[in-house]
Amino acid sequence: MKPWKLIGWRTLGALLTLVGIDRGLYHFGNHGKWVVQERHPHLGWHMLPNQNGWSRYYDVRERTNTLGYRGQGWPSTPADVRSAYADDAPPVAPVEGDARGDDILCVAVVGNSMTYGSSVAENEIWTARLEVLLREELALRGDPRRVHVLNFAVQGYVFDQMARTFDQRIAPFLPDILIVPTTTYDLAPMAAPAPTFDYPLRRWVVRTAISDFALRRVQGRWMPGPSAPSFDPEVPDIEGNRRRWAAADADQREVAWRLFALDRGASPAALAAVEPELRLAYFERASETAFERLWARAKGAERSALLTLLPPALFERVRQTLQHELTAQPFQPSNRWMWDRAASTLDGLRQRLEAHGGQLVLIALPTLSRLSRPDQPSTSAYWAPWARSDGPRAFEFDPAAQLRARMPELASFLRDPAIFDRGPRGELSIPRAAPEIETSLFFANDTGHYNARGHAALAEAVSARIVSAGLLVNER
Amino acid sequence: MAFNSFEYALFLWAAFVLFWTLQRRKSLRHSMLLVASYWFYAQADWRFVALLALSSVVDYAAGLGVQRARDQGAPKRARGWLALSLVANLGLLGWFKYFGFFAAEFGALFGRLGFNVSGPALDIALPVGISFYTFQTLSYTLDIHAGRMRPIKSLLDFSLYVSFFPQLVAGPIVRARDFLPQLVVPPTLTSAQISSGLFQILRGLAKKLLIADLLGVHLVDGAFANAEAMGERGALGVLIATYGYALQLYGDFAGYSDIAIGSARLLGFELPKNFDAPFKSRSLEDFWSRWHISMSSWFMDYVYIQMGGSRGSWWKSSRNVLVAWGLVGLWHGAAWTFVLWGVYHGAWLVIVRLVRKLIPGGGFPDRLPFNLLGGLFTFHVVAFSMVLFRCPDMETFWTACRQLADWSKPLPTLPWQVWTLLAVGYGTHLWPGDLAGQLERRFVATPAFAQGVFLAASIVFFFLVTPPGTAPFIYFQF
Repeated sequence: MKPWKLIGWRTLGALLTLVGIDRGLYHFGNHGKWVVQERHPHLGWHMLPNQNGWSRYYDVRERTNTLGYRGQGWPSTPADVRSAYADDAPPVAPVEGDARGDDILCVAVVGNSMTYGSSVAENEIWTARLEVLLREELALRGDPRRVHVLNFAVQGYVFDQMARTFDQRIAPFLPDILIVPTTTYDLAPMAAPAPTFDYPLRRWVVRTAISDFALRRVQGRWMPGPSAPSFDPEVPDIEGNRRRWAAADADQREVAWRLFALDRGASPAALAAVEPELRLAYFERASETAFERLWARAKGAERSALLTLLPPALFERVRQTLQHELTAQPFQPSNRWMWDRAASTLDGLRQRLEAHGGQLVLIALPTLSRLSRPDQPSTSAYWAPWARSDGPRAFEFDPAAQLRARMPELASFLRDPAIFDRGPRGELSIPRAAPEIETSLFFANDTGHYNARGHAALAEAVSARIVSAGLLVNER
Repeated sequence: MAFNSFEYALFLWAAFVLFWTLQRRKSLRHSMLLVASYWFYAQADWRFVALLALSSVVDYAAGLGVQRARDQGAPKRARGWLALSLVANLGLLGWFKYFGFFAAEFGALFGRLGFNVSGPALDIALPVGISFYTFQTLSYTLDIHAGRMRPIKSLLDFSLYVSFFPQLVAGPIVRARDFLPQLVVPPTLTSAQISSGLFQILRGLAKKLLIADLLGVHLVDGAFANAEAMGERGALGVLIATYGYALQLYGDFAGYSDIAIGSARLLGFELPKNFDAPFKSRSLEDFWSRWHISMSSWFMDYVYIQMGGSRGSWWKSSRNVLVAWGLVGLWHGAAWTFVLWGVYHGAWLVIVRLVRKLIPGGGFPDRLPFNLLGGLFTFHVVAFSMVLFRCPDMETFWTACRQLADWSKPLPTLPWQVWTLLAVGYGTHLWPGDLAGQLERRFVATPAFAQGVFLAASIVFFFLVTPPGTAPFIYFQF
């Protein structure tokens, strides 16, 4: 018998089985449908390019372009951006359109799921609507420039990652305007990315339904992870505990240190003063008490510095606590240092943007609770003075009033303390009996994100503000 | 390119299709396989491809030279050619594998004697598979010199013998007289051969991915991480970790060998068996005829027997055993733990021979209780030597030894899955009769399409239950 016949049936059987299992998991188990992210040494994580997936509830298509962001038809990718990908991805082919010249108004937007447009169609995301509105405005003015609004949002990003995205991906585009939508959530330090493994054909494998099924349903469930080293508080072997820790968690620790090395706000002397005490406390298993003691003593930038000293497990707990604090009581004086830390990040961003004449625009993204409770302070309360003090090339605005006007009855209903209810993420939930529920700018089952109406309202508010601020004047 | 990667699956499939497409064109077929093998080797480190070529050319020339000198009745010239082969191969091995180690040891020794000898610190990368392919080429010239075979005329065929990719990186160490004749006979392919090859590969993957990798991550790595980790385990903990490592090492290396044998079989070549249920051994000699068979038989044939073997007095024979096993240890790596490991095995072999000599009748009777006791004893002698093999340093090893005397600590809590792995691993290994052979026969009898389905389903299963990523094979470091 011919060799190819001998191998043919087996190959066919194997291929059909692989495809069958994969397609079965895809269609009947909804596996492998979401867009996939991968670890990135500087950004924490980023999305894989050229994906065609589904939203969280499998109702809206989510595609990523050749750079791994939502949105098609971007202007040519500058070579610098392509080289920024070189370490972690294959070279990116230039996308359609011409290289940016004086005939293009380039608006770059960073952000997280709010701007990424979770469960919102691509052409209904506020950045896409903004592009249309600005294009119409320029046409009305007889301005021949074309408009490109580039959406660099990635789900889960916080301020730190947005700033890094600017350096890694956006700067080479030389944007005329950089829009940074902010919520209090974004002020917390970035989470260390979950470890991923590099292996041949990894990018191809992670897109399959089998891989998705393995990661979400099997791996780590049938077999618990490697056991952590035991730290015996009764044994006064501090040095031994220290070595055990180092041996057990070297990889994770290295990641955390690398990620936060860039954020050190305190002087080396200040770091050196607290480091031994903190580490020793950790190894003595009294870490939280010791940490609280140090935390209470530290002020401002010292708190940023303290964060950089934490081992990852403890850091993650602290980070989550900070995020809860920020969500619950963002304007508590004890949380002021996180705002200052973000402001310092933004200062650097603004300076880099100004180097080529760009303009920074901060938007205080209104949450549902903020829309329903006008008395609640906005992030604007911090950012407006910061922007004013920063000169004319940065400004901030709060579109809460415009958005509230789109759902007046609902906002008023939700203001009633009797139905006031916070969901698991600290956000209001909308009862089914709420009046004019169809006017909601937020998803009923996910009040942390804007629906298509919310995106449209936000785009109009932002467009109007950009126009009224005179940012469309061609300065070239 | 590891055997347990998707890349290798694609590579093997492509090599298979090309090889059998060229079934009737010998030169092209062998050239294709040589290029594929060099490409495979270059995936690990392209810089060392030249070494592989150099080793092939030198031994090819040495083989021809030895034979010509023998034919002309010039034994001195034959020895000269043999010396060239020995110097070239052992020189390569010595430089890349042992120079750094001996330089550091001599430096330390002279330092203790009061001389400051500080040479340049050399950080020499070890070429992948050098311990294996140098021994293969050495066996070729040694066999020609001893008149056990005649040299091959084709440099292409000889280079293919040295670099044949299934056995290039970690064996089995194939003798030239076993492999080269297979290059002469036109290959034939049967359905049973493909089925058998695929079964071997699946069997190897199961050993590697399901047993070795999972035990490594969930039991062994933590226990043997350092002296502190070892110091907390107590005797029961050390024993369980040791049993785990013995199974891991077997699964890893035997798994590799199975995949190598299966891959070669798909291409129409038969490689020698490298493992034969070694934990069923009833004595140490029995164990070494079942574990890494190609290496132990190499040292037996080319070192131990050349030194006189068991001929002569008991003392002389014991000396030969100790020297041969010291070299076996050194072959595994440039570290005192490996040398000690080799000498440990040599010493036990000497002791066992002595005991056998003292027992009337030349040994224990062949009865079940004696066999069971002999098996248990052999297993523990071997498993304990693996502690030495696995410990990152001597401090950890001595800690493990001390812990073996501490029976006060309770058995460490392990998840049920680890116990299951140990039970399944040892259970299938110690199953009476030839379980793998039975399964193989059943697989071969299955229709081809169903084999493909089983193959793919098994690969998906392996992918689901093993941690993401490709864990390297342990023997790659040698």
